[in-house]
Amino acid sequence: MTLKKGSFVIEELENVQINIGKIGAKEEQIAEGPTPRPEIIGLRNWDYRILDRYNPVYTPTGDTCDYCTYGKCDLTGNKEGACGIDLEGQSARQALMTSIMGAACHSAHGRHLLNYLIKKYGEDFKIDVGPSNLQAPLTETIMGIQPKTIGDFIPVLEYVEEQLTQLIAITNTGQEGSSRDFESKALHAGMLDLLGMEVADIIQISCLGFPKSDEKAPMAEIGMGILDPKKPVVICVGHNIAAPAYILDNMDKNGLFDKIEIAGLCCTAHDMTRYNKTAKIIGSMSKELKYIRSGIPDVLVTDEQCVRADILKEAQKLHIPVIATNEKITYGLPDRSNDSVDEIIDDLVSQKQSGAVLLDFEKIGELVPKLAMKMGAIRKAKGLTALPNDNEFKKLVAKCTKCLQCTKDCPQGLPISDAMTAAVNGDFSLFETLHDKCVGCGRCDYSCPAGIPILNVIEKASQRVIREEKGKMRIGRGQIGDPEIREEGRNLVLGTTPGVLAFVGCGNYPDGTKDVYDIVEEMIQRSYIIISSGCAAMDIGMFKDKEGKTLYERYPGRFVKGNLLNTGSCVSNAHIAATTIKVASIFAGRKTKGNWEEIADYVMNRVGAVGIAWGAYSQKAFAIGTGCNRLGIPVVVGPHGTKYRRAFIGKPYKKDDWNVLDGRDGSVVNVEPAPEHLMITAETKDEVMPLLAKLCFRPSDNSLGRAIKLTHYIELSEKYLKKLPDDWHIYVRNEADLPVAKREPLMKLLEEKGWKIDWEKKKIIEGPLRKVDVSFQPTNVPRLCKEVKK
Amino acid sequence: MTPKAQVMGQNEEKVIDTTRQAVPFNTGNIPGPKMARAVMPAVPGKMLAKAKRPLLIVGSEIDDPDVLARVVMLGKTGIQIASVGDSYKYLGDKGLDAHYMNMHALMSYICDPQWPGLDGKGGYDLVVFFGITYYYASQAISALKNFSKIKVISIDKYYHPNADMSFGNLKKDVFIEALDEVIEQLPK
Amino acid sequence: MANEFPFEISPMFEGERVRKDDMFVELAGPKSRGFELVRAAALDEIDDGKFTLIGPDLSKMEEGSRHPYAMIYKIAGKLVEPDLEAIVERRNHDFQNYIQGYMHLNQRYDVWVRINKDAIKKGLNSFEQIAKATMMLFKNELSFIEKIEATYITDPDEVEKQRTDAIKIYEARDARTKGLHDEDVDVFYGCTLCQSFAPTNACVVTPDRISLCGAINWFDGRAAAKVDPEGPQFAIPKGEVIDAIGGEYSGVNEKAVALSGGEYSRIKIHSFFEYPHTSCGCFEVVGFYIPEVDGIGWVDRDFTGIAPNGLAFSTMAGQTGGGKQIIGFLGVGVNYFRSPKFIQPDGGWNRVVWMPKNLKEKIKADIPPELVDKLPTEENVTDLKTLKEYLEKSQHPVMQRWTKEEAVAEAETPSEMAAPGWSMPSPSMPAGMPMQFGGGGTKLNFKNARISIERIVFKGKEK
Repeated sequence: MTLKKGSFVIEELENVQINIGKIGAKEEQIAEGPTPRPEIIGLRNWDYRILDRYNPVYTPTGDTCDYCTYGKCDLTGNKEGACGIDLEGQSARQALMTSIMGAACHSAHGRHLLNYLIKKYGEDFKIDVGPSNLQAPLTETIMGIQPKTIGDFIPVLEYVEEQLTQLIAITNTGQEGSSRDFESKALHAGMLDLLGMEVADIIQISCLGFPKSDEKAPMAEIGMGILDPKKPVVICVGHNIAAPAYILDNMDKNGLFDKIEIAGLCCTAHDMTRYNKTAKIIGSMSKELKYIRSGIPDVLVTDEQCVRADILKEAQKLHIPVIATNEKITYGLPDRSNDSVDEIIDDLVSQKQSGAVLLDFEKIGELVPKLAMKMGAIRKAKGLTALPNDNEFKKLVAKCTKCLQCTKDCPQGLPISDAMTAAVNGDFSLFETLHDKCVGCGRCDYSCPAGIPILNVIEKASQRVIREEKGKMRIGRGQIGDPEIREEGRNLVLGTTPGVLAFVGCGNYPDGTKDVYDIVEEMIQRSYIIISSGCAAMDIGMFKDKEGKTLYERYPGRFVKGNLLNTGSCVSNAHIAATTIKVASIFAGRKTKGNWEEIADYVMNRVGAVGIAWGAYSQKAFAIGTGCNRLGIPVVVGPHGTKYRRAFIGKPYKKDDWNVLDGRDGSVVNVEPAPEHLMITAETKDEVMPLLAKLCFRPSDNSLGRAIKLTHYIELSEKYLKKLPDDWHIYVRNEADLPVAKREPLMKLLEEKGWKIDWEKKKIIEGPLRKVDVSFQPTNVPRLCKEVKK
Repeated sequence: MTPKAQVMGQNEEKVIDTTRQAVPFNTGNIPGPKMARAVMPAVPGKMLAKAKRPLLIVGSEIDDPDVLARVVMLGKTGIQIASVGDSYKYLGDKGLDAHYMNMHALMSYICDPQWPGLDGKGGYDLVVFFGITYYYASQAISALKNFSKIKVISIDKYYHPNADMSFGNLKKDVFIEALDEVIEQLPK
Repeated sequence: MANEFPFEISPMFEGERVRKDDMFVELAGPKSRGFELVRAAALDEIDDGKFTLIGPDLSKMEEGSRHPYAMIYKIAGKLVEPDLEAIVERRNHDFQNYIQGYMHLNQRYDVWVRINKDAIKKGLNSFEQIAKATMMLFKNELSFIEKIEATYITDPDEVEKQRTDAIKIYEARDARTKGLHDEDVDVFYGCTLCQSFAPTNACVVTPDRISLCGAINWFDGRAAAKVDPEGPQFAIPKGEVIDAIGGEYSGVNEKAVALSGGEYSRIKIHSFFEYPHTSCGCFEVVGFYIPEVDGIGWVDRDFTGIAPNGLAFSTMAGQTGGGKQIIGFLGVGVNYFRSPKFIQPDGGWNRVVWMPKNLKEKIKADIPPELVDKLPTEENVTDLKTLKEYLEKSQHPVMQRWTKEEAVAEAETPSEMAAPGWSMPSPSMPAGMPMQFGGGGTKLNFKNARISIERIVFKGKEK
């Protein structure tokens, strides 16, 4: 039967059932709102509002540009190069490139998953993220549609991919010439990153049975010391659960969890535990090289993102076969997807091949456990490890000439030669300290002129602490559910919760992983809500208190004051940003569809949330931060963050930068700098804690909230910097804003600053920048005002 | 704490040579064609003495007692100090003209001719620094190098390619002696 | 900043717990007796800042011991009145928890206090220090307290004697609260605290309607308005009674326009269907209109299942809140069920047709006893059909509202349902509610219809 285009008549309908599915994809998916699917400069006006107040600050890593064959061009002192771009423009261009790379990572991850999940479950598979009215807040806000099925995300990723292609084009030589507009485009890329992440995580949560806004998700074991090295060990490295899920299913089906240890490194570990809570976690990217060198893994399974480029080389030395399961990382290995499992295993066991690219998930699931059993037996018998034995160790540490070249090549500048000297005398304590601060990069191996394999020495000396490295992490819960946000609304309004801190990002910490533990512990006791993800979420769970409890065990995981949440892997970061959108929708009834500017404006003026990526290293982290910035959320990065080349720093001394409009009548109100910066770095954890408290101030704070926030800002500054902050008084609008326990002494100080106090009534008469008015509706967007005064 | 500085008299033989090892402390940290001139301690010393409104920036690495003592000595000669990182906790009670400031923000503000300075009395004509996490300082001052006209001198124990002038990479004892020599140049 | 006390005072110590092994002493609590009380007094009756102790002081107590404990404060000021006593008293718990090393649980005659050994080591040796710190905090926050005095009792007999009197005072207060109704007062109180997040929401707090979040009752509003009349809690003079049953007052309407920025201009405080009270978003329960039975169902925030109308809490909650007046959904606090005026213009409890079991258990005492068994939960009813059947079987009073004809599900096109939330369509189809087709014998007649088919898939072997 052939059907042609055209119209025809159905004369009879007998016993016909009409099921109406998609009533024309177009009608269902009408994008609503002021700016659905914004094009490259669709939100540029909003970006300008951000950029004009939070000026981009450039700290270039290099003064030259070697992009094109006209170069290398010297741009020192902000000169122009051959194509006419100056150093500012080149730095902004690099910010754009970095954001694009990050956005592409997450969106490609999402695309990979979407293609796979649609094939497996069908386009009509319903989305389910837990109790939520806005199931996909970022998608709604950016695309203007409300997705119900995973197929509804197809146009979303198509949009992201189209935009990214346009943006990448703009990084070619001879495109944008304005650094301001480069930054706007970088913000656009950041926003696309958030969108790509949301798609990736929502579809995997929905289809793969991940926890759905589950505050009681169980604990996973984490650490270098948790596995039984006598058993065969499978380690999965990367971010993409698609392949490891098959391995876990196979092991489940065949009851292999007792026989084989399986754990993940980096975000794959997060998603493995969300898929199957029996899976375990070794740790963040910092552990990759260390764990491979230990010789414990018997099979390495790679997928994508944050996987070391030398995995194959390192694995080969220790006869660990590498199975590459994603086209993004193939290491020059042969694609054996069409070969039989047994053939492949034979070649790997006999070492005819050092690894294989395998893109057939079923085969991966079948092959890896079998391979592990075989390799385990062989490798354990040989006792393969890169670490020196006791005698070798003694000889090696004695070779150190204290030339300090390793320290110079170390990203953290670790004092390795001191540890060597101590170890010569049998004291390993300095090495044990180094082990936590060492990010496992291996640059020291290349630097030592005496040929000491330094990383191996550090690991050998730290065997005791490594054996005891056993933590607990609450498995990623996914989104924050609406009921939790609604319940917490009261605390946010009454000030009992001073703010929301998002501990995200990678493990390039300036001074070891204990920093994040210490900061979280301090802030959670002060009732901040702590939401974590990615590598940071892992490291938070690595330390224990006197009673042997980790922070996850001490504090519950609900979105409520003084709780510690883990959303999951890097792509779950989208849910953290999405929570701020939910606040705008739930409490202010703001329409979210296609309404980025209004929502971001609301968030920036009202929602006291700050991201802290203390160890951010990757392009992805920068993209996420930039996306959050476009949503009005400030981000603090550790000192290595200066290498991102661009920050968004506010100038509190420029009064005119801090004008907002009162939405009730369009009048101009000069407000205190809140948040003071949108993206900034700090040198040490002592500095960062008061900074986090300060960045939670918002112009719309009522007095209860402002008083509590000020309390913590002042207390943290006194505790860690031994000083009262110089600008605490700027945030005082009236006496009710003053911390209740310190009201009198603070009023005295205000009087010393020249403010006028009525001591009888205990009121401030003169001095504050402005009055408190809880009905004040701060906005940066004129069209959102009721009547704009001309 | 008595300084270990040798008094540089014309009859003394000892020379503290701070121009050796003038390669970036982090091997890969080569920013471009313009890199700091390696100098002897007398140079920053004299420049500090001549400057009308110098700014000393110190950071979280001043917790070493020998280093801290030199910060205090410098501060006592009247130089305004921008105390970045968490360094203020060592300086707050020493009676110095020290102000806490975030390093990254400070870079931005120094580049702004409209910035009224840490004390509201105006901009600075010379920046001298030490005791800051190496890569953090190096990266941050690239802003001053490329987007401001102010002279930046590192008197830290690392070679800072992005400064206008810098010591080479120094061992700790030489570093302390170099600091003492700088201090010697300043009016008491 | 210098600290006159040997302990830190900060909200960061609010959640600190003192465990048995760490405690120096335990005061009052389940294994002993105690109470806390605030009394209003005249200005000349009080010696400002005076502290009196009856019984042994902290320094005389042995480590690990347990003692009875009473804290009595007398307050005076031009604006102080007995109605404020309970408000001030509740703050004792909050403020004392700010003290590092001092844990205060519960309130009134259930108070339970523990002091940490570390606090003693740091120099805490007398109840006077605790009392003085607490009094300082009282005066700092509640500026209508011009003078305050504290008497702490640790002598068992004295505690016992005064406790009996205190309990009588609590009972009298409770009776007053219970017996005070909207019609007994001239002034309501408005609260705009959450306008920092919900710009058009304002709660009207009356004796019969506590704030949504449960944090502010009429007495709290009164106290706060005394502290700062220009602040987020302020008096709303009732004005003329426009509708006593629905709860509409001219004074309130006037304020409504101002507070909501013109978003709405009339409020009927106890009404579900007409000019309902708005909510910010933190309500614990959402009510939803079920046209098929002309009744109102309620779902609480913690219920993870689906209501008989096929929707979950979060979806329905998303239709209301945000400081907007929406017809068909209403956000309330659990405590509103206890109000004697609970949705009285709409029939009160007679109109309530469904709620989750947990919620029903929580408020069972407030449901009219004859209706308790007539009110189904998710255990008996999960969809509209079984709901109607249940209500019929149990002879629920809502049946009296039903007409003889069957309720007909009208097929409306999607565009009608997307009407803006704050308009007022007829109660038969709440705005924004998705249509339910299918199942249950819905018949459609197509006349002059044009069908566009996006895709045709032929199932079967032939191509």
